[in-house]
Amino acid sequence: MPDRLYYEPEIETLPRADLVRMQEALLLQLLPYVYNRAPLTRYIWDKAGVHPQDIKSLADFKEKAPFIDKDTIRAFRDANHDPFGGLLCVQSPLLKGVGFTSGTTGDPTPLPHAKLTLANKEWKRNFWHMGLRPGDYYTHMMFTFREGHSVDRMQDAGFKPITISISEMDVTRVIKASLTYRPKIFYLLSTPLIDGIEKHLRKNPSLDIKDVFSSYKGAVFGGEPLGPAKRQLLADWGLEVFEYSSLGDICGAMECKAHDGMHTWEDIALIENLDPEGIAPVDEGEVGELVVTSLIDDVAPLVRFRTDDLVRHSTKPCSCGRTHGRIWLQGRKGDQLLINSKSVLPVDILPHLQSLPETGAGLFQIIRREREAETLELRIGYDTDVVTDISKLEAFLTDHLQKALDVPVRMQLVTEAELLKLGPPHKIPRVSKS
Amino acid sequence: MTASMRTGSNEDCGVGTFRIGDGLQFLPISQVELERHHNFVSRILSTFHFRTGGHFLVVSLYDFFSQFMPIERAAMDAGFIVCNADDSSFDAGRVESIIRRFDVKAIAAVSNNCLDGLQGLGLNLNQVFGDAVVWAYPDCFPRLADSQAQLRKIATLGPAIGMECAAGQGLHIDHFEWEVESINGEIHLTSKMPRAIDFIQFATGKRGRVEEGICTCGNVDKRILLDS
Repeated sequence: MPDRLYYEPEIETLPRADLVRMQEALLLQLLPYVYNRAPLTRYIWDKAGVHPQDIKSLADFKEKAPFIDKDTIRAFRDANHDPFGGLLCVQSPLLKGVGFTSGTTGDPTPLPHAKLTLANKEWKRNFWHMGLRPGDYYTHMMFTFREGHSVDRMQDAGFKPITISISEMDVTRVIKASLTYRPKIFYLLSTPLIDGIEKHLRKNPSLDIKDVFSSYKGAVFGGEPLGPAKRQLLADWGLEVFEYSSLGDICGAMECKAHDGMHTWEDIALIENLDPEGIAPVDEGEVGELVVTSLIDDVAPLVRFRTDDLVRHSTKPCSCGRTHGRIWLQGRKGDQLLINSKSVLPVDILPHLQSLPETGAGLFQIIRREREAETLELRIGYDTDVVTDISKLEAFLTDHLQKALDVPVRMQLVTEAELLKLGPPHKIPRVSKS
Repeated sequence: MTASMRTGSNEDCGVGTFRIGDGLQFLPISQVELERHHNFVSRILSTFHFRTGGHFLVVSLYDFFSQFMPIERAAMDAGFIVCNADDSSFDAGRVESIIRRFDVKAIAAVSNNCLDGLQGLGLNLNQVFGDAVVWAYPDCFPRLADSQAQLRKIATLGPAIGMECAAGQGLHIDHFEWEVESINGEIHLTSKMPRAIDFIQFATGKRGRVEEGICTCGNVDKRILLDS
């Protein structure tokens, strides 16, 4: 059987005009269903004086449909004692499970699902594109709380997961699995895991990490943006890295081999890129707020959900041959800080810290008491194996960041271990109020 | 691989993990093994006659899919909505959050890691699980002595898992999958069906005795009574 480039070529390379027709068909089916079942959607639409019957086309939807955001969902959740925030459309037996967000900043957000999750769908497309084929092993590092155990959901593709928990402690198991089973894909690398591998290599200098990773055709990195220093480090280990991010909690978006933006699967979600402070679409290539609508989730679909993510977006076909759009993450609207009117996001700071051995893990927090401030306040984690003089590091870092970011900087230096206590094993909250 | 393990005739569909002593060993496993394990857990759950719906919380690590994914699927078949948390003290906050926010009727499997985390959050271990059916590892039982929960034991024995039924008279071991014997007081397992890895008188490192005969729940599984 000849190899094929795409897992689902009929969908992945659908001409844009057909993709738009598909989106319209899916959306028009879903809207009355959601309106009749999801209490929050009905409340928001009634309040806006809009009914699904008013929506006859995608254009109507973009003109008339009201928005929801995290605050709307939380308010409904609290007012109605509904953990699903008024989004749930079904009960058992169609409702099979509830996954959760990591809960970095509070009670984890429930993500209810049927037998299959939408992630099961996109993983197969992404992994196939990276080079995974039926019968191949791949390393699947994950928490149980996100999707539950999902090995049987990959069987139709013939992919064989080696399952390992996400933990710095599991570095030795990743190495052993890589050498034993020679997997083709690594999913999912995170900053703390990379730091764990680096520490392991310092203690085991004779280990040939390029040989350990030599079977991999690609490694997926997620949890936060990947700075140039970490990308280079992974390249030095022989890993081609594919960045991955959540698409407003509907599913994920991932880079392809072109490494020019993350593909958004537009048969799963309708993507809009709108003025962060308004409702007008922004031009292609301009930074806007990502707004998503579920197209095939009939369990708890999000309709016109403002994600708070600032992105650039393009619907131009990618050189990889797929026609689905791409986004380039810029940061979170809620994380943006204006220092004397100059915008600062975590993504602006990360590469400057990752390029230094003392702060190479890139562990830091922006202290954001208000949206606007006169001085950028940071809490930065340093590597105790490298740093001997903290005052000297503080003076150097302050000067380094002030010059790089062109804003006044004040900082508190803490050990990396202290910062890691603040979050789950794969990331820490990038912004703190204190 | 030890002498008591050899590559079997079934093609694996993935690689999980099992504990042996203080270490971990990778466990290639086939789709039909997962199906058989699913059927075994369904048999155990059926002894409780759950007809209430609600949520089933599975506390486990991603490494151990071959032991816990069948529990998830059997719980779904029994009409439960499944929630998951990691088996670590760090994720105990999620366990508490799920119990507080959802109608949790059953939990598997509570470990000392989980209890440490819950205790660290200032919670009363005897109250936190309410009156749910809770499968806990045997070494947790002293800490749950006054619990209001309906406690049952669960334990991993090498590649296998043992679970108590509603009668709570020892850990059922799937009679279809395993021949189980106690040799000099140590539990040994031999696989009876084709697997990705066959086990031959595999020493589990767990000490106990094997109870034979029909269980009060009506099952023919041999049951293990672990030494305390």
